[in-house]
Amino acid sequence: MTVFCGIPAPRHDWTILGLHDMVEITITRRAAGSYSSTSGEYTEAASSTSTTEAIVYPAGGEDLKRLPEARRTEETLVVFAADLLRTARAGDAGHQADVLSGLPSPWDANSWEIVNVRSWPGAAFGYEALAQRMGQ
Amino acid sequence: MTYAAPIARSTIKAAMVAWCRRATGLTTIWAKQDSPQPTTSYVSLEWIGGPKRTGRDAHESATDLTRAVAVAITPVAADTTTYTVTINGTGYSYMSGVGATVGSICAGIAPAITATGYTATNHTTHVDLRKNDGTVFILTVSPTANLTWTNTDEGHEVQTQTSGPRTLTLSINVFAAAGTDADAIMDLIEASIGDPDEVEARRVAGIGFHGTAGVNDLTFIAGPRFVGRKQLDVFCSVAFNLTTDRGYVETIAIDSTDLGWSGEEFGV
Repeated sequence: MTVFCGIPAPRHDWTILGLHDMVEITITRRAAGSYSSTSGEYTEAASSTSTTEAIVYPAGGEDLKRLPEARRTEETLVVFAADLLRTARAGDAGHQADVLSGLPSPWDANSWEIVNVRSWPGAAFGYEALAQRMGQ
Repeated sequence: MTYAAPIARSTIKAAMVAWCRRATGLTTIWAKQDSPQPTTSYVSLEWIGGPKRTGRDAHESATDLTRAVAVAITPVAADTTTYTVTINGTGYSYMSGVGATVGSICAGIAPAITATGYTATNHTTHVDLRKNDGTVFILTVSPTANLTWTNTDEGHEVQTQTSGPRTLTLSINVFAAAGTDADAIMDLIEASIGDPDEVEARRVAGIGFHGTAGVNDLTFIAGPRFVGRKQLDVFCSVAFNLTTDRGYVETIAIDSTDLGWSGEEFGV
């Protein structure tokens, strides 16, 4: 596997990326909420924020194949992050997906929801996530 | 202005959740929320049709006594009591002291009403309140035992109340955990529809059922296993009631000695 600056790069041409592409982004982590037993409505729990170093670029065709077909037409970014990024989880202790903000221009005006994550153990940027613009 | 909700959605939604929980003992949620899927087994509810109009609506005129152009507010004296005049949802309060009189309370209430565009005048026995541009405002007072108001403009806001039946279609979906029989869960829901206690609970909530579409099997494959899913669409009837304010109608009193009438009121 090709490694650039500790970043696993199985497919991407990392020669066009460098450490200057690293940015500090904000992760909003939403804790497990609950459904009301009387109204059946979901109430979100408090969320927390943290920051992490990341590299961000637009998703390509191969990246989009990791998503369900219905979501492949939405604006999607690839985010390599140093810290864990979470997708939504169903069932016990179910929670909503992490939301990213503070991304570099031209994506800085929106919030981005994590829809897919895979990990590269041992790599400096060990979490490779797909994030989609919220409100699409 | 905006209309008040014509269908008591929150009430009937809560009644539907309570019914499915009683019937199955399972978590019951409303579908299509931006939220994680609960642990199976669970029941989801969704309005998939309606409201559909059935027949003609009825119209009835009434008078909205909470709306006025000019009023006289009269207190009843009480010690250490908070008098509140609420104008279009914003409250203005005055708290009386010990040994309070009607005069001292009027003297306290009038300057407490600081709403922009209104004039509150202390008349010792009462407080006159008028909206400067002559348009209608909504007024409430509290405590009602110690504070009353009368309309001094001799006009009334006329309302139209429109009511009629509407039908809604409720889709009930059972998602069964692995090893759990979705049919057995749906049987509990389907069988309980006609239970007298459930019929009464629906009546209290303002909703009735007038039929179902029958249970469908929507079991699907999620990864390595099947997820048992049963769907039942229920046709519901609800009451629709819309109240609209039609406009402020002033009344005047004229003396007509020619006709021998005095103080006859006419709408203008």
